[in-house]
Amino acid sequence: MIEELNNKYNDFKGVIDILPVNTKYNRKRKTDYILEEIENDNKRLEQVKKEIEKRINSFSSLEVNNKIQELEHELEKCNIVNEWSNYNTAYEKMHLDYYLYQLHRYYKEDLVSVNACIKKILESFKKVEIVLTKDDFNFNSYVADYMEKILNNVTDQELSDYFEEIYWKNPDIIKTIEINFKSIYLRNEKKIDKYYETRHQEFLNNHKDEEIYNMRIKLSNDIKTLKGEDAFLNFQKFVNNEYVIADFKKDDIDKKKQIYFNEESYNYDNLLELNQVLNEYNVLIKYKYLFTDMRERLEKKDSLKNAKNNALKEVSKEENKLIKLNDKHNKKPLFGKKKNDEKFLFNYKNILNNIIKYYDEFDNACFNDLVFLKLSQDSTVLEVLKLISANYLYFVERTFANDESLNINDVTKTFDELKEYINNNNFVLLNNIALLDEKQMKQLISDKYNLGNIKLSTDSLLDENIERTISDIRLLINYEDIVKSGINIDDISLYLDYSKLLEKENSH
Amino acid sequence: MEEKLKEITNQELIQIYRLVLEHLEYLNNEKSKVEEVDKK
Repeated sequence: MIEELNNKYNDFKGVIDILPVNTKYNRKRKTDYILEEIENDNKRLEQVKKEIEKRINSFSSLEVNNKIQELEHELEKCNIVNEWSNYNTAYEKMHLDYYLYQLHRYYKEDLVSVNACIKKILESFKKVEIVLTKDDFNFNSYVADYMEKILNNVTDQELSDYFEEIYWKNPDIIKTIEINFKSIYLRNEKKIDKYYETRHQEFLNNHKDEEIYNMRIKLSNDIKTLKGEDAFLNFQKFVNNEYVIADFKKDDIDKKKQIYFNEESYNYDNLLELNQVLNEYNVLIKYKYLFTDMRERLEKKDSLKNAKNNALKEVSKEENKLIKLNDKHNKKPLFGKKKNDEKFLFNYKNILNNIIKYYDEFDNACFNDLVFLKLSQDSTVLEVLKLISANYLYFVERTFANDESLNINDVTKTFDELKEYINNNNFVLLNNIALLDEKQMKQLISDKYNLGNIKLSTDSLLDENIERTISDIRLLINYEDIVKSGINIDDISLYLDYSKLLEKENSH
Repeated sequence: MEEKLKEITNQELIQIYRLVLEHLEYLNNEKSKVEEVDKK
């Protein structure tokens, strides 16, 4: 049909080329001839469009399966178990680690974000039934006044004006707020622990922890299955360029199948199992720097025994110095001699920096204590990852130490993904390997799968190849999901080509 | 034509659509060329 149409068009062009335009009459004759062909071609175009639209019509009625949202809502509710995780403290459960890190990050950049972050911290305290007032901010009178304004919900403009006014009197307002929050937390730590313990006990009256852990894994698997098989979501991935038609050509898919499977071993369950093991193995490679760090901490266990108490003593000593310094300064007239103000600010900054330093040491010591309590040299990699994925600050600090070119949003996203991955999966590898025992892992995995007629070479597990191997297996899973979802890749291709051409046609 | 269109593959169908569009573009260009001569 294409050839027939091509010939027809070529014949027409042959005639057009020889039609003369030397007189007005000839020009009109040629124009009429062209207009007649335009009319015919437009009719032809409409017929072609009608046929295309008929073929792709089914896509317009696709809708996402409502069940997915329902299950996601159920999964969200299961997150309550994070409140009594054994792998972190109330400080992390309240997300103070995250908020105070953000506060520290924003303090030089953007006052609106600073204020929003402070409000989130106040809400976190309120959630654990600790309602803060101006009096809790006792390190500095300017800070107390600033916090009073935030507590009274004044506008951002008013806060900004006030900040501007006090900044020159004390440039370390935000840093002071930061350590003041840490101090408030420590003062109330027992009460907050009690709050979480009571909530846990209430929960245990009607449920068992295990039920929720298992439900979380089941819901997560059900969501993954439903999403994989959802025609609308698969179709959207092509529209959004997340999937590319060229990757799903039948011949290429068959070639990929042959790399890893033979005819008997190629099936959906084997694909999922292989995907699971490869992803777990990838976690071992990706977070090697964290496992090394954990091993080093465990080796230093005996020498770090009193670090927490020592740091806490120093924090307390410096906090008292700061309060005394402020009291002394506040007794003077508001606008004392310039020289004294400068001396005050100099001393203030020194003490503040000491407090920050000792709080960092304290945080690190608390984390080490948790590591020593929960882990040993015999712990499995999964136990190590459970502890890591419950401690944002540790993850962020070590990840930046490993690669300082990363940005905080990406690191936070990776942390959230790791946390979800660790909480919502049944593992086959990570729960069976000890922290100290990663040797020969490639060979072990490769041998296991080669026994089951799956052709997994040790080469495909090398650090530089693992991402590609995972991506190949993922592609095969996606292909099978698309087939299951009942949409035709050929029709999607028609839809995408048609959309592009329609856009081009309409732009003329 | 309608009947023939039903029998062809998606790939051929989109090729025909592209071909018809190109021909329409050619026709409009030819029409403009004649109009240009007319103006002179």
